[in-house]
Amino acid sequence: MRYMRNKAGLLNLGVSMVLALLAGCASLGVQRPDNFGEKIEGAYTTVGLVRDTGLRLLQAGKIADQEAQVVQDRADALRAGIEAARDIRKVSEAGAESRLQAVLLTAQYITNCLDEREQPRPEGAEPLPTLAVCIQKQDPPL
Amino acid sequence: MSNSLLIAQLILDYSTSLSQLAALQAKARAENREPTDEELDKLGEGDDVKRARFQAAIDDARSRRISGSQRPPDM
Repeated sequence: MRYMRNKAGLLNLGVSMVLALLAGCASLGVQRPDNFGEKIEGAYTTVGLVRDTGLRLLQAGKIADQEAQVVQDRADALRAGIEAARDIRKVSEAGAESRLQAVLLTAQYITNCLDEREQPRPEGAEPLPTLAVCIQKQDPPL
Repeated sequence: MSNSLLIAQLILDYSTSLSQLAALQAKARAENREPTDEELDKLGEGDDVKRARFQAAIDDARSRRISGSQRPPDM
């Protein structure tokens, strides 16, 4: 239950659940996506969750406007990746799948960084890197 | 807003998102087909709304920070 005590952790859990859903988990009351369109649906939902969490962290004073803008910009990149995957599919199914997987992986990286901001920090611990640095360290730009 | 309220809101949003996703999937599956481009576009439009709301909050926070930093120091 400790994991549930902070909202970023909850978002991380939520995104993980969406990813698990996309990977084949059918225990959420939503049937396992077995076609490209259903995976795209899940990706749109994930981007929305990233934006919602950014908004809540901003409103709660957990992140500053500059950090929130980073979240927004990365969510925009995810969205662009989804639209690109839809376009690529017109010429290449495998290419579209690959692009979509990259989008979902990046979404996971972003939520990892948001989650990190919610974890209690031990006394004397080094300050966290900025969100931009945190995300960049894990993932190259889309 | 308290953390518990924020978490409750997040759970609600997450549940709503999953419900919408489930409804779309159910509709498409009932008709034994993939979601149409129109249905996917609607999800995109929903994200546009979330984006606009988030950006407005960012702009508001930025304005408050800038106006606060321009205030003359207390004497």
